Amino acid sequence: MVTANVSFNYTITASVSNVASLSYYPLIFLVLLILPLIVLIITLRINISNSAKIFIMLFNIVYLLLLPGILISIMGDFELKFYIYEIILNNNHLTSYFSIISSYLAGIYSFGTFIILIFIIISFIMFCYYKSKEVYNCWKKKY
Amino acid sequence: MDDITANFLEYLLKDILIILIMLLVQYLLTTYVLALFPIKLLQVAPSNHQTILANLTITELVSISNSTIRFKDVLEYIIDVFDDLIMPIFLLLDTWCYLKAKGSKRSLNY
Repeated sequence: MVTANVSFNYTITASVSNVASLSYYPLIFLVLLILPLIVLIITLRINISNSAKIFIMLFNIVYLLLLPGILISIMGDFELKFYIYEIILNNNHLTSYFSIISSYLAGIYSFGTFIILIFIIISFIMFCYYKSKEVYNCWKKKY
Repeated sequence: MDDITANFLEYLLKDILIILIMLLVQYLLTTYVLALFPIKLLQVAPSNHQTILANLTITELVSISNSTIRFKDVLEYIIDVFDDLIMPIFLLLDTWCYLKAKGSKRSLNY
């Protein structure tokens, strides 16, 4: 357990598990990026009505659109903790490990935005496909 | 109100809601969410008191900013095409289906 009085009148306490939990951030990034792909595959695979597929696709698109914002917020959180622990640990050897995680996060974010764009385009195409299937069902009926 | 009109209104409402949700997301993206992105961070001196993301190297900041700007540009284009072109076409097709069903007095079943 490390306790530090940082410049002003407040105290920050950090345990080893607090500091070590920073290494989970890339994992959170990967899970958040893979989640929409899983939803996309499941939606295409299972037997549900076109309306339900359109509904799931729409919410997948909304989630994907807001995903970079979520990722950058998590990154801001990480960098803030990075800064606080760096001060508590007095810039010793351990803090160099944080820089490695930080660059991993930046790399995943930059690559992730391309992946997200591809997912969004696929979701939009699938959305239009199922919507047009609905209209086509009405069209082919002989009134 | 007969069943055909009720069914049509439900579909019309759904289409309009989709357009509104997309407009809302676009608004959120351009105003609040993009404020989180460190686009202007490169101009800020890397002092820990000024910015949280100062721990990142310049190369990482450049890569993050570039992907964010590209994401924003492509996204705005996609949402514009979706809201101005694709959804109005579906609205027209839904209306056409309704008129066709109404004319023949058959149920409108998508």
